[in-house]
Amino acid sequence: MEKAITSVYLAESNLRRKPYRTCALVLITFLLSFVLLSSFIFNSSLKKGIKGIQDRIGADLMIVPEGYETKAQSVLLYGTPDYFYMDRSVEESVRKTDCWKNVTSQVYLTSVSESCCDFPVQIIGFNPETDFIVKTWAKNKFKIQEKENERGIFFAGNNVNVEKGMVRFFDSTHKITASLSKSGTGVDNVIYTDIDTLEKIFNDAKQKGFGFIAGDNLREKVSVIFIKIKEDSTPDSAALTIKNAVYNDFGDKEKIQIIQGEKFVSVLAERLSSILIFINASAFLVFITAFLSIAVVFSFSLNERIREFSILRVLGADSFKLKSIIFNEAFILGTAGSFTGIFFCLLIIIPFNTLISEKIGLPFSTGSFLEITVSALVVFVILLTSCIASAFISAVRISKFELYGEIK
Amino acid sequence: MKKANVFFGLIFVVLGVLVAAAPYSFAHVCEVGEKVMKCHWTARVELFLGISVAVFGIAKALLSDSAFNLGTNLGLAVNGAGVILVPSVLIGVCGMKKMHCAAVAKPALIVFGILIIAVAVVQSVYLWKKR
Repeated sequence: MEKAITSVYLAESNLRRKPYRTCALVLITFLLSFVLLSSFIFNSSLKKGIKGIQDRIGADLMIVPEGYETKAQSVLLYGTPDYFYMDRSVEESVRKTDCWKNVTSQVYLTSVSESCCDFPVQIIGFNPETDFIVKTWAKNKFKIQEKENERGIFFAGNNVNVEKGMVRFFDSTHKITASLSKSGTGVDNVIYTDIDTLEKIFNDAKQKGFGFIAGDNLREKVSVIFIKIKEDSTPDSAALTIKNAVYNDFGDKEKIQIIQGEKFVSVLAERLSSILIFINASAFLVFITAFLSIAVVFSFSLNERIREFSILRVLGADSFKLKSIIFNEAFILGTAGSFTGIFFCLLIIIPFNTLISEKIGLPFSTGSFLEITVSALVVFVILLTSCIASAFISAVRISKFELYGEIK
Repeated sequence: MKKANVFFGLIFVVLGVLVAAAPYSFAHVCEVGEKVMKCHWTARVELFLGISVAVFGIAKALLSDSAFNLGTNLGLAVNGAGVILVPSVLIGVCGMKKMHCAAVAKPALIVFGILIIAVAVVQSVYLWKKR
């Protein structure tokens, strides 16, 4: 059966007859869709990551021992196991002031292991009664009193291996009270527990010969104190009040550093914006280059193909038919290029998101399946529209040609 | 030997070699220490699956019969599914998502598996259209 000569058929045949030109144009659209979609995903994932850290900090002020600001950041951002301590009475000094609404503290403990898959884990002890940060991240609801009476609270970060609701930890298994929602930050690799359980793990591990880096008495130590200030206080004035209160109680014996939650996030946001500018600028450059390249190639190929179009015109094709051939070629090229570009972009970014997050050193949280699908569809539509738009000038030129004159 | 068959055959040979070599090189799994981790067994199965894909690829490059090629594509698609399912469902890798086997080896093998299935589908469509 013979095929009907439609404009789609003619466009397909034209593209097939010039395989190198077709491949080059598909490659350009492929690159464009790849860069565009990855910039979309990077933009939203990095912004979500920062939002995650903003939500996770949840406190206006954080008190750490002097000189440990960077270590506290690396625990929160990258989950790098670390430890630092100050006297628990610092918390009491903070409570004596009148600028706080909520005060809670956490104790950091780091496991040490030589074996490859007993990955060093950050265990953080928190006080469930005063806590206003960790409990809000729990995915499932739980009753604190019940759990406390049974076997203690055990929260697992999103990246911690949980099998059948249990986590294997230093040769013994623990029931997970709740899993924490994904934040795209270091706290996804952390285990949170109450102080009693933390002490129990500490003693059990010691007996079994596992190494722990910590002082002698965990109960007398804290690593970070989180403070939510009163509405009528400002972070600066509250920080000053607390610093003075701690200095009056301890003098030079216990030096502290106060990190303001907002400033901590704004430093990150600055780093993020410089990366985003680079990503967006490259995406824009690729977009312009691709758009111009396709337009130029269409324009050049039109000059070569004047005779071909003239013959079609003589055979009865009207200017609409000729325009439709050009648009169909652009449509096929755009579809093929953007489809493969989106496919390869998703193939790399989604499975390797943990690795990407680790390499860029910033909180990175990829969106849901729906968000990614919407981004892919938007890229597809942008690509297709720009391919058709780039062929537009050539199509208009074709319709204005006095083609009969060209064949003579 | 047809050009297209050699082309597709070579792609499968390369993907097969990558599947077999990845868990022991650039996307390495954990070394065997006191404990033997799950990823060690995953690597062994992937080695076998990778060799199987590469052998299918060589056969494809040498034989151009389209019925044979369609049949081998079915086998390759099943192997590709195996490459994906072994690290994700059937055996798995270490639990901590930051581990090299979970962050690099598993996604790399999933990507290779998807590519094996995609190339098998593309060649099947190409052969089907040519019949």
